[in-house]
Amino acid sequence: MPIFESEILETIRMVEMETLDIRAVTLGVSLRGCAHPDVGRAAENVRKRIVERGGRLVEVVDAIEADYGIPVADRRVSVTPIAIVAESSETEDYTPFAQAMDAAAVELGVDFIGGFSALVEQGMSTGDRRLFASLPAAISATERVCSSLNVATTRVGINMTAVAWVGEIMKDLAAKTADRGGVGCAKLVVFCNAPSGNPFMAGSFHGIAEGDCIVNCGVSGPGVVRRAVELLGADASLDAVAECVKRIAFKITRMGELIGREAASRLGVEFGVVDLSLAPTPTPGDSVAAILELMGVGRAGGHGTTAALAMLTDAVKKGGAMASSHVGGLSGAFIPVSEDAGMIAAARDGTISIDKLEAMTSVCSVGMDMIAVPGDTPAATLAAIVADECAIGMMNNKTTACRLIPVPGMVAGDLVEFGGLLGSAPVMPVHPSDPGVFVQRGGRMPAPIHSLRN
Amino acid sequence: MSRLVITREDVLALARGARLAAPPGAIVTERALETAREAGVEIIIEGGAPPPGGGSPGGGGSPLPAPAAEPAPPTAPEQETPQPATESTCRLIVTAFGRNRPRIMAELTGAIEERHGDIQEISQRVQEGWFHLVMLVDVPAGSSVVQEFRRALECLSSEDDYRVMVQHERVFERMHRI
Repeated sequence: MPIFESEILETIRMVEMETLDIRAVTLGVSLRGCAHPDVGRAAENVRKRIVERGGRLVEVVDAIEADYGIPVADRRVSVTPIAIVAESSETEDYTPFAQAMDAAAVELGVDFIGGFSALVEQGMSTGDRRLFASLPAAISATERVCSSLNVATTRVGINMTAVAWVGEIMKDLAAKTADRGGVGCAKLVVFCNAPSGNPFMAGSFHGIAEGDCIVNCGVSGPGVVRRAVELLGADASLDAVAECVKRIAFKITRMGELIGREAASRLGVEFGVVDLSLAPTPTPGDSVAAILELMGVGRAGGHGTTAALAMLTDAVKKGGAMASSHVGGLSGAFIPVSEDAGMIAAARDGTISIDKLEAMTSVCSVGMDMIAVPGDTPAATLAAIVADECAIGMMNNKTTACRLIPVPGMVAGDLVEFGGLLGSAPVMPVHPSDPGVFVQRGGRMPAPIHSLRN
Repeated sequence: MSRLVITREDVLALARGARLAAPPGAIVTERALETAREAGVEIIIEGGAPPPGGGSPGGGGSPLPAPAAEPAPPTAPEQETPQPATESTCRLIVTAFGRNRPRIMAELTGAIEERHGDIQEISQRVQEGWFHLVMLVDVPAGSSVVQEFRRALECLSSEDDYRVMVQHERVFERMHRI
């Protein structure tokens, strides 16, 4: 069937003027089999395995980009959670594993590598405890390594002992990277119901149920959706808006599937999932907040924002699910504060608060992402924010996550610059009440009942 | 799947100007390539193309097939529906837009002909001094040929004149057809 000129021009406009791109092609590499009692040998096994499996990643993705004429923003690698791989090694300090991952990332030419991770929703093994203890030093000693911790699921509840520890880790990590605005915390994501096929950093890791090697593809396109909603005008009903978003999501996901499958085929590995997430960037127009504002809620964060975001997330999922046989990861809409020009503006003028963000995360695809808080925020308060977010994920059977940055030396109202895709974030105030006793109780919050729903 | 991997260390171990011959199927990392460029070391994959450039399957740095040197018609008002690209060709969609002026079509078709492209269909509109055109062009299959073609056409673009973009037909098929 011939392709119509109008269709060609629509695609060209999306790519050229509305910043549509393939956001990430992420190669998942299993590190099972790399364990060794000697930490030096184990770390070298890790480095070698990543380099061997990912050696052609950048070359192949560059070639696909050039063959198809579609921009691919990032090439990345994720690995099996290091807490599992490192547990056999006789060492308390897992920094050598992070350094091995960092060296492999430099060798491959990828900007981030994910998987300095632990899955501790039910309890912590020796390897998990060592990873937690090593985390601030390991992440601050490396440039490209990202970490994620799964501390809760709907099926088993919330590991509050781990959550309390996470608060301490965030404080320590911020202090260790104080000269760069505490940017170390931007490389740590704390999850409830973490998906393993997520190609987006910093929360990407290679799931323990995955095969040896897999390609996952992340597609974005808030700019395209924003423009489509703008063209509909203020008179269109919400049915029309939802339908329009769904159609756009379908088209974008199809492109992600094409590129992802091509990358998998050229690399000779399995194709995993397409993750269609409206992931904003600081580029003007590439903003999820702008979509919500065009839907008519006034400033993002105002009343109606949660409802608008719910519809947007759902329409994106519906369009994406139709377009690919394997949609996964985080698929939906991201609302990172520092990476979205509209969110930054709303946070600066006080329309959006940490409480409203928390409410929005009950319907967005991830959670409280890239939120800068005052440097003197106590560890217990950070842990309590994480606990709140996990509770939303656990009760609603969805992925939620926290990426909080207690910026050393800064107070509410200041602006911290991270640079690049991480953008800049206004420091948002947190509630002064002390949740110390609640957090320090520790233990595991039981899993919820899912009958008797109301 | 253990394959030989050439890393930065392997390149650093060699003298400047040396040649590193790797067996077929060897993987050369990005850092190794970068270091080789800096150190003037030439990396050669035996039985294949020097990396990078022809890395993907079917690409392979083979010499260009003889051009099907038919000069393309400037417009094709009564052209039949184009046949699908064959296995030995790859169909690209060339889009250009900008302020209209004489010789744009000549520049584009000239560059396409030089790179052995075979124009299957052209559609052009001019409105209030601005133009956009869309062309379906078949080029010989192969990653390096396609990349060379893209470079040749996209370098006709300039900010104050017109822009040219080249994309694979499959992008549009995937996006607009189920």
